[in-house]
Amino acid sequence: MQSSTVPAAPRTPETGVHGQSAFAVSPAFDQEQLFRTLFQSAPIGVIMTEAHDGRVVLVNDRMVRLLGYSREELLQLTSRDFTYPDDRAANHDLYQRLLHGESGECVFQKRYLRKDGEIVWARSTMIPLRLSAASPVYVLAAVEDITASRRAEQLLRESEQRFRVLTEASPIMVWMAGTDKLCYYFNHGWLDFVGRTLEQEAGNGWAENVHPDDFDRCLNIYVTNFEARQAFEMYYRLKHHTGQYRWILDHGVPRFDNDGTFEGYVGGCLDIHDQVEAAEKVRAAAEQLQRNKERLEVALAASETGTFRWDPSSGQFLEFDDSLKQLFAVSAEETVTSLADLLTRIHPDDVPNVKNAMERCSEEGKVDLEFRLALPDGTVRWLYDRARIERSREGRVLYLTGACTNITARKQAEEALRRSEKLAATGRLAATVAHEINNPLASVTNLLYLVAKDKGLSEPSRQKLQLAEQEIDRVAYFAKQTLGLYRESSPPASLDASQLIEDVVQTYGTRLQNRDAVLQLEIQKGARVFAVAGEFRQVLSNLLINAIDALPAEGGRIRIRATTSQDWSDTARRGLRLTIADTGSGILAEHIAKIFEPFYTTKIEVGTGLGLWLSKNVIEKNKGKLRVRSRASGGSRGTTFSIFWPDRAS
Amino acid sequence: MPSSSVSRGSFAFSYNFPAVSLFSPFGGPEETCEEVAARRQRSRDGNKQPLVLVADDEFLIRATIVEILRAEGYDAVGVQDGMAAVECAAKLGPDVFLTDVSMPRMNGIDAAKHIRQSFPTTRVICFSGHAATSELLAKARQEGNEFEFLAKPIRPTTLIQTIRAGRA
Repeated sequence: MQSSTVPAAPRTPETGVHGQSAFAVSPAFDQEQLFRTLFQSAPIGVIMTEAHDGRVVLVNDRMVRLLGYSREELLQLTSRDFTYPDDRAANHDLYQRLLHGESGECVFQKRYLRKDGEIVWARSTMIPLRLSAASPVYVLAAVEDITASRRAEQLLRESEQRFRVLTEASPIMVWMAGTDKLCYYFNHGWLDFVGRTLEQEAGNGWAENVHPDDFDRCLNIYVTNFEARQAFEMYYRLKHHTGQYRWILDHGVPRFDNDGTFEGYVGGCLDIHDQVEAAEKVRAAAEQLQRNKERLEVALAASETGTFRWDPSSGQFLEFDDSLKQLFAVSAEETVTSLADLLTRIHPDDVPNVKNAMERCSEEGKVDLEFRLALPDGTVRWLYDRARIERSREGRVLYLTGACTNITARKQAEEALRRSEKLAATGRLAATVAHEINNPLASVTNLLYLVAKDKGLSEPSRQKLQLAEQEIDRVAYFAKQTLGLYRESSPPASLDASQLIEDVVQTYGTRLQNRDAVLQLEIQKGARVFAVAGEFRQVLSNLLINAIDALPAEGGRIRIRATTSQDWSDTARRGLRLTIADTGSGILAEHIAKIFEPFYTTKIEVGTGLGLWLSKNVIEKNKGKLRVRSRASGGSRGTTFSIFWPDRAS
Repeated sequence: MPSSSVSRGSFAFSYNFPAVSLFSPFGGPEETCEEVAARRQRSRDGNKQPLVLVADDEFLIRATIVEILRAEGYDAVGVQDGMAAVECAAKLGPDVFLTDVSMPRMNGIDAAKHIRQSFPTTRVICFSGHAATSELLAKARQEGNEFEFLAKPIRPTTLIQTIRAGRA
């Protein structure tokens, strides 16, 4: 309820209609009619009441409609009757003032009570009125129904109230700026965030919290858009009351009043720091993932491993990476779709295994398999294939995923290890056997010698003893050279080759005789070798024994030639050229490469398979050379071993 | 004689030791170290033959070597391991120490080192049928000991030649 009073000087009441009037009317009008109509249809409520008791004297249509009573009813009522009870006191008060001339004009915002009980807000402008000098005082009021605008005001207030409540309670930080660009309002959300008061933030105080690196950019966006009256969006770091700078997204929108007048800006800000961090984490994770992928590729390539995915139901490869293609000697551009594409690469002996493993992988749930590749260029490669079945959540087989690694080096190492273990075992065996043979041999050798010294022996007995001694010598010699496998302690020296050769030939004289073999010796006098005597003899013995064993039962020929010469592949080096040729059965082409391997022998019952291997080692150790030629069929069947043995230290 | 029967699982045998003793071929039991020492002490210095101390854990080997050497005019005595060799050498001061390498209690090379400490001029000849010997000898050589080596089984003529020649 509002009222305003005009403390004017008491006014003389207006003179009425008759008499001198202050207004001009065209004579064409019927004045009476005119004024009546005017009064009745005025677009404002007019009501005249007696000042002393408020009784209604005159009321126009508008007022009648406003109050909801009929004209007749109204003429029976007083102002008090249709004034809202809470406003009656003030109403009465004003009447008194008007009655006693204390006020010249009052504006009273009051509530009228309609007949139907509804309340009407109105602005009533009241003046005192006398019709004549002697008439009582009347109150003439012009009443404007302000219900609608009042409601509008109320709605606005309510709306602002809601706004306030929302902004106050909301975690969204809200700010408002006026047309001067200065901020005059920050909600609790904002103030709590920065931990400052409104006074501190107002104006440009809020800028102190913006991160120095972001400040210029933000200011620029704000000012530019402000001047263009455009909405804007910006993000920047704002200092949280804990001291941490947090990323926020600030959305500013221009405000206009009902007329379209620019009033300033309102903005809402969201703390997006966690999202920013999360996004950063995702980005970092993606980078990490990429790096891991690259590292995996490098590792796969370095370990010669390739990966694949295979669909058992369709038999198709879903993935077959470049590393794997390399292993299979497939070019990177080729696509490998099915197992059939690879079968040509797999070693024929292993094809059944591979096929079987792939077919059964769904049942087994995995593949764990070593197999060989026989590549187009002839190389053989060992692969280790390890894969497992991936299933869907329901247990349905999705695909086989796995990797193949090149294990050729490992396989070769294993093979070498096996061989060396065999050799080591042989060595250990040899040591025990050597001991068990050498000791009794020593005893027998000595005993035979002592017996042979007996002067009382008959000639046949003495000769038999001599033969026995020779045979024991053979055993001793063989045991030393073959079972011994040791290095002699004496260092190599320049030796007379012919002497050494004759020593060996002597030893095997009987064996040659037994075989009905003819031995041809062509030894150049003065030929020398730089060797340990025992080693040289060992090599020659070995080759001679082989030659003798190769001869057929009906006999044959062995020729040993020794000449001073040079290395056939390096003529600067001089030494002994020694050939041992036999007319024996010859060595088949497919065996020739293997004869120098340890444990390779065709003499199953008696051969250790070590002789040639040992000989080759000894020759190479002495920087010599060994080669072989052989023919296994035809007239000139036989084998020839050729040795080059240097005559001096290299 | 060993006996067995096919259907029975167990293997039972009896063995008759020959009536003749092991020493008969060598004219009696081995001379002990003390006996040799006493014998040598009794003879005059000028008549003393050079003495070879023979060490080998196999009786037959040392007995036959001793006899071979004796037939060639050397005095010889046999011991069965390195420790016995060291003890005997202390009593006899041999000119030559002829020893197998692998023996129980102490091997020939270690025995030789000990003997050399007391008798620096004793000639040492090692023999062996084993592969590792050359390494042991090389190690001994590194330590400043020069030992000679012969491979087992030694040809008697080679042994005699070696001893006579004064070096292997």
